[in-house]
Amino acid sequence: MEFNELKSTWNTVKTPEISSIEMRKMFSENRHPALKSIRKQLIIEIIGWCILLICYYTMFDGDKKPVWINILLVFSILLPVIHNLMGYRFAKYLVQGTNIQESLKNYLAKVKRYAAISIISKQLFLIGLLLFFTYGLTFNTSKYISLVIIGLIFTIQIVLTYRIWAKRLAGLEKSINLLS
Amino acid sequence: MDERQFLILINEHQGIIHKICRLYRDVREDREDLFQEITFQLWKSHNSFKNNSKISTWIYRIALNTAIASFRKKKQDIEYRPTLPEFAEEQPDEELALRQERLFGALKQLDDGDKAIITLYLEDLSYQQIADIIGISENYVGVKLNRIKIKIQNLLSC
Repeated sequence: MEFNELKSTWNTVKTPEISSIEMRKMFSENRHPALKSIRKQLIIEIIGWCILLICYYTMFDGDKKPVWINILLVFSILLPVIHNLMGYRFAKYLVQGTNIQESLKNYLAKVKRYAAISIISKQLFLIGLLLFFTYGLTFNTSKYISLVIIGLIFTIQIVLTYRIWAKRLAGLEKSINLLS
Repeated sequence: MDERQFLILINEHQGIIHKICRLYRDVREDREDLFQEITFQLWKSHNSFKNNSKISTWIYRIALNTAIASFRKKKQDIEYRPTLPEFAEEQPDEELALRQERLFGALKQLDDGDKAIITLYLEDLSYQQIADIIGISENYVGVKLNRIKIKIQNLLSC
């Protein structure tokens, strides 16, 4: 196929027609595919954490533990919520510059920061939970084994989260390098 | 620009948004999501549009930027259907449909950056316009396009 032929073939491609009514709905955040799922996740998580915060004080002996460990638990629960709120704002604005290359570079810098916060906040959350629930426990062999298993699960989670972000960042970096 | 004016403009240019979605996503559902994402990003950044550039140039920039920057969902199995995908369903000319499939088949194998440059070239934009949208020099657009053309020729001759 010659290049002029490619152009003419490109120009003959028929595309679907979306009505103005349907198009107008797409301007709304409520219909946005990614934002919709982040919102859903946020609502479910906030409800879950609220229930936990209401119940933990009596159900999980929060009243018998020092104030600092209670504050630590509340803080570690708030972290993923704040992180998700950041993610929501982040997903809303993809275009960050006056040309594609500049925009992708700015966006990549933001994704890197967001990825680092994502990994750190997840770990702080897990450490906070672990400290709260293990505080005051007398450790024996089986409890140590449980602790090692939990530690392993945490580590696997860090590795998996890191790999997901590394893959996304590599894809963006590749596109920027190919354009420059 | 109010919502009504914006809607008219997007309606006029929806063809190019569909083509970009077809180029950057393999599955119908992903294309629909990308179409919606591009429309949303256009609306979000419509205040950044300056009248000293053509509206179509601005739409190309935002649409391609969004297609490259938005994260793809986990890869799904390609749907095999007895007919060609939705674009070709209304296509009575079999030979033309085949040519389009070959063209998209080759273009889809390019990297995201190359896809952006070739899209702008196929849309008949000048080297200067392509350079402004991508953020590279006019000369480099020529170099890149030559490389992409060779890649496409190789892909089409396979």
